[in-house]
Amino acid sequence: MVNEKFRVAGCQFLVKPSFIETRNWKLETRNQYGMSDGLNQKVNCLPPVRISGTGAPVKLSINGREVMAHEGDTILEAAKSVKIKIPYLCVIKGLEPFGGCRLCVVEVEGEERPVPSCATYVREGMVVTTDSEELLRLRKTYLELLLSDHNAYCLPPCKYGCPTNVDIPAFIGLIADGDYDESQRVLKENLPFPAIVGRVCPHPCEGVCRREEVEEPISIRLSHRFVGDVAIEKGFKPEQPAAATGKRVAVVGAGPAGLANAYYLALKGHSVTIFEALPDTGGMLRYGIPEYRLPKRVLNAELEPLWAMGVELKTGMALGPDFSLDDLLGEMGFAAVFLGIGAHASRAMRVEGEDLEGVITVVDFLREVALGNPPDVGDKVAVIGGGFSAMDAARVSKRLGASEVTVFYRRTQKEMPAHELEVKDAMEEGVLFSFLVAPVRVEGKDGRVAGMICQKMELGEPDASGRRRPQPVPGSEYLVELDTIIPAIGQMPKLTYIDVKKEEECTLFPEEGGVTCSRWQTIETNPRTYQTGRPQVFAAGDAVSGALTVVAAIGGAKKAAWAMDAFLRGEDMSAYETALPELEKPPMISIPAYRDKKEARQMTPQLPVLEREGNFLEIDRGFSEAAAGDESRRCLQCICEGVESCKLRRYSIGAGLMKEEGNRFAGAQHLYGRDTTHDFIQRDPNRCIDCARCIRVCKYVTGSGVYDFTGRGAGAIVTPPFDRSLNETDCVSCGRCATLCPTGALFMKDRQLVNWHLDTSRCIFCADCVEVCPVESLAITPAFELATASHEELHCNLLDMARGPDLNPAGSCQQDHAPRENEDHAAKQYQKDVHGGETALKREQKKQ
Amino acid sequence: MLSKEEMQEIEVEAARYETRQAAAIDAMRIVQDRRGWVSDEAVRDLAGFLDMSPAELDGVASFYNQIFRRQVGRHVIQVCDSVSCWLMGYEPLRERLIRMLGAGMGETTADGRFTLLPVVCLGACDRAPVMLVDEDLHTNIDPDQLDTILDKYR
Amino acid sequence: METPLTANIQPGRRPPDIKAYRQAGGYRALREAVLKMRPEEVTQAVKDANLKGRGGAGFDAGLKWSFVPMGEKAAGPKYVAVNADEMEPGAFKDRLLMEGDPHQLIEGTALESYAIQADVAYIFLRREYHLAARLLQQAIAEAYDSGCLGQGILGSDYSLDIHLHISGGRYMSGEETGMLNAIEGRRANPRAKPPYPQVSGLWGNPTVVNNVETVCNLPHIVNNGAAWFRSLSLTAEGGTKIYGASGRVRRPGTWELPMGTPLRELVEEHAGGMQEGYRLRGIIPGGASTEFLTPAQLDVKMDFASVEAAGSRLGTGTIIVLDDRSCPVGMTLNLEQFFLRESCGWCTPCWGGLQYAVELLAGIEAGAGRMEDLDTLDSLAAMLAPGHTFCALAPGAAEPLGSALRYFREDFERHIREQRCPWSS
Repeated sequence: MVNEKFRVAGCQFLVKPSFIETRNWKLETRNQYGMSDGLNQKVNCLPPVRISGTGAPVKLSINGREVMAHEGDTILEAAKSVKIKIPYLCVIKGLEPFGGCRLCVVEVEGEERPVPSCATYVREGMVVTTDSEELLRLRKTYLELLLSDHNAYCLPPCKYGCPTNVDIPAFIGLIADGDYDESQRVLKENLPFPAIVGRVCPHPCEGVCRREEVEEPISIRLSHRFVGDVAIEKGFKPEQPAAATGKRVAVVGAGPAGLANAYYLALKGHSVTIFEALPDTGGMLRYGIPEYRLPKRVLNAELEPLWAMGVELKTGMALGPDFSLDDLLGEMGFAAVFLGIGAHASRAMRVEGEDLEGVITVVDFLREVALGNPPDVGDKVAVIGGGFSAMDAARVSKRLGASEVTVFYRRTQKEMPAHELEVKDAMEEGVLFSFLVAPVRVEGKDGRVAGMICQKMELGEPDASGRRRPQPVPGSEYLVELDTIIPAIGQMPKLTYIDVKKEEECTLFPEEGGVTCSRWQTIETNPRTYQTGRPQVFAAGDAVSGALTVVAAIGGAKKAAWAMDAFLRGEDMSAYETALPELEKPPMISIPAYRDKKEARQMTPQLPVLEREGNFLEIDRGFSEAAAGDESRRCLQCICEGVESCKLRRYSIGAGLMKEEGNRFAGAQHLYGRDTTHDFIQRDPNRCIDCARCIRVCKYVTGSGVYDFTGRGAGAIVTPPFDRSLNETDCVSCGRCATLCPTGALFMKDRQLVNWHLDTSRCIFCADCVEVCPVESLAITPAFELATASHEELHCNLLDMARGPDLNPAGSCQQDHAPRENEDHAAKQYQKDVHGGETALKREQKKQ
Repeated sequence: MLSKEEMQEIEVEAARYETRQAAAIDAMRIVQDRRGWVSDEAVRDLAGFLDMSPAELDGVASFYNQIFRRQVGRHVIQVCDSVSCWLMGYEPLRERLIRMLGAGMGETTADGRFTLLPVVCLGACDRAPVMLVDEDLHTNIDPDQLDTILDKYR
Repeated sequence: METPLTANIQPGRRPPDIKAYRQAGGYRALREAVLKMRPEEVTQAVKDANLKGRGGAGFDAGLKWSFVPMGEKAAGPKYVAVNADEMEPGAFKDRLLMEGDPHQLIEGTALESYAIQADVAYIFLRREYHLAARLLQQAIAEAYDSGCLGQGILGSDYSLDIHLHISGGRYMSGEETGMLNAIEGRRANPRAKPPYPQVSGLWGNPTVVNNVETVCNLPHIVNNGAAWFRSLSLTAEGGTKIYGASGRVRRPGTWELPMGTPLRELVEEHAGGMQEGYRLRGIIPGGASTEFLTPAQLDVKMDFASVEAAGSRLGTGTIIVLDDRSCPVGMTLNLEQFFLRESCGWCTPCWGGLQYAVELLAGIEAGAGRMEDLDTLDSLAAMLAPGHTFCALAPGAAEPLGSALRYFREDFERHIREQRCPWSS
């Protein structure tokens, strides 16, 4: 009987294949038992049932195909019978047409205008077109209109804008709730170092935030920094790792990639050892990013959970000079290796004089400062380049006492890869900028830098990156006097080392080793399994991608950890490769954000410019609790439980209504409250598209009639009577409304049986619950008739269910289910809790 | 609870139609004539009386302009806001009314005397601007005369 | 010039009671029909008279009735619904007929009912017409008392009940199928056509819906014949028409004139031209849901075919005059706000499209418009055209919108250029 499964967000429930049957007997039952309490009323309805496929044969043509149908069938039904798909949102199979959504319009020869195929009946010789250009255009317009007042947004673009795919709406929502512990837990599921990344991330998530359509994007970066800081400050317990697997993994490099990889491997129960060439952890986090942006105290504190999970750290151990891959996988006994060696080689300027003393690459410069050996930069410093590390080098030079620090960049400010706020900060701190200038030659004196010949540039045609290519202006060379030059024009992985014994430069990955490298000096990996050419060796981060962001390195390393876990468990990696759903960017559709409420983005206090001089104090002071709360409440919470099953979304994607193109009709919008009071059905009218399926199925099929349209004009919306909770209606929780809802407006909540509250005073013994019970915990028994006289019967067994399957081996409503005494007691206790000692029915009887 | 008189009157109306539901609008008019408005409780009672679900009757009630689902004042002023009256001075009339009554559109005066509502064209466009006070149509209204007009309604 | 519809109507006086109505020749047509004519003959007479429905669409009344299943096999009961839900902004002719001569409407209703052999007729009256309700109630009672309604009308074997249904008040109830839902005690959403109401209307039974003015013509057609009726008109469409004018004209009012009276005659002669200091900018010929006509089109003959040829619709024939001291954008906004508020909120293009059109118009009027808004409005007007929505409400809203964008483009653009309404001080 029960054979059609509907999967909805992790919970399964079952619905009979055919909804259609009349339920008048049930209504009589209700009256007979006098339970016309509250809203319960007799519903007078004759279901407008449609029976198709039984009339006289009719021949028609659809899209040039000859189709046999029956008199009384609609065009939609005829098309469906030959698998010609026509989109619709409001049709319920087996009920008379409604026709409100108008997506199912088709062209019929001889008809002046498109007709709704759900409400137009077939005729002999009819010629129907379902897919003309005009129809597609019309449907797209209707969908666009539906989306224009659909105050719900399917999926969060931020989550898919972030390389770690951290669940941003969830952690922000938890900040709003004040549940910081849960918030950090959610964050660390995907992003293990929120305090660190919250300080250094260029936040691609904010670039795609929908709130921008209202006024400004949510300050996501500072929000997760806030949660990370709170977690450190309050000492929230780290996640507990899984049971030890006994597998040993070596992680090479303690930078963002290596640390993240180690974190997720350790969580899975593997035994991890990190090898780091430098004296301490962090890689670029410690040796690249200056203290005033990322204090070492924060870095150290946030890495604590790693050591707590038993991750071992060996510093001063470099791949190449100290050990080889063969050593790791051989005598050192590791089952797998992760390469997170970063991009620590600086790109050369390729100009004459580059090797003079006083020219120091940005990586070396920042590392020496972090190690406590700041080079003497003199008075006049030039930084070449426009990226993050160029800004860092310039601002650090300023702090080291240089009086004149100039950034030379060959394009204009607009093209700078550094974040505009970084540039602004640098300017405020007195860093000078020289745009459209490129170095030509370094001038030396006594083997030391004395100056630099520069050349003016102008912007020509756009290159492959879309940026206009700078071209030298002939004859524009000029000299700048300098003490130090810091080239910061790009980094790449360092794949060679000097073998002290052999006194020669060796490559880290010799050809016979299996690990291959690209011509851009990066390690080559399988993009899904992160495996290199040597199966036990995995890699991610800058070493694979070239110099990118911290968050990109973490994202890749995390996924590499998951792949390594599969590898260590002995899974077939080729299967893993195909099975692992790439977290590709899902389509974002053109739903305009609700714009009626504007609230400015919260700002964080900054260390005043005058107080920054000569020190490395952290500049950004982060959110206060109040500011973080206010900011989190700005979040539009672009999530919808119905996203998997939403027909509106599916059609909109099909029609190509993408976020990037916007919505022509953006503007007129409604904001409604959400009703989550009902135990099974969640109602969010913001997502309702007035298709009336719930109204009709509830009225004509279930027989409860708990919904109808209220209001008028654009304000018409489907609600239970008086717009009150579903709990106050005749709802029998059958879930048909939610199953049929083409959006996420009505949705079955996750069923948590422990929370199941049964109001027996309202039970009408319709046995709907028996039919839909996914675990057959309920059954109609010979005692059913008895049960109608004694409410405790049904009550008892539901209590069993609430205790969960483990404690209830019998698991179903059986009359002779022992032991009874305890159950009776439990039932009475339960009743007392719920009804204060008496059922509503008893109260009713007392009144009479 | 519906009163006996209300039920009798509704039964008379219901007899004119093929279903009891068809008397829904008449029934709400009957209740409103007696009580001034139609409360949630009344909708519930009427639904039971007319064999309808409360949801459906609530839907019907909220569809029609002249069924008041909120308490109104002793007198209801309905000002035509449609095109002919708009052309002939609806806006100054509305502003004057709002100022005089101290109540905006859709609001009731503090003393419970008047409720002010906009209404669709009253079909007296040749005598615009017009308004309806209870059942009386006032035409060619000069905002300066509003005092005299409203004085009748205590 | 004959004015049969308004012959009994004297401004400021109580309408004729049944005695006076009968003295003036009333109920003669009904007696003639029920005693001497077959139902089909009544329908034929109306067909011959070329009586176009006066509710606005101008559909041939006799033709409409002829779709009703007739004869022994026709399933009963059958219904007539008279559309007295005069809610279209700018329309005020039915009020005149109902308050001026209620028995004329009752006799007409009875004639129509006889023609299709209806068992029950409902007069669907809007709630705000309190006086008309009282007068009709009284007239119906008088008609029952004198045997003009009820069992065996006027000694024939035809029986008919007429009930006054007082609406809950909603423009959508005036839509033919919306009205059926309203009478059935539902939200007045439109129904899918087919099936047409003549076959499946009230409670699934054959039902004919006609406008008050249409029905009021019936006694005169039966009394005087189709040829006479056609001779009243200046054009091919039979009869007289109640025309009206509102706005800044010297003598706003209603007049019964031959069908096809030129618009210029209405404006300049009957309405007395524009008021001192006002110039004519445009005319909406027949209620809010018809397209603007320009001063250049004043010579159009006011019948259904001619006004349609001029790019608009005769509609109700009660014209709304836009003067030069009123803002065309503001007027369009007012019209669209009306349609949005009165939409049933059911089919997508209507609730979705109208609310955005209003939003854009309000923005332009408030001085926050952008030039590209006009393109969006153009596309909305095109999208709301007939055939794209379930009923005629949204197309009705598109007509003044589309034509205002066409004829008053310069005014819209000026609003946007100046970022304010030039008419607001």
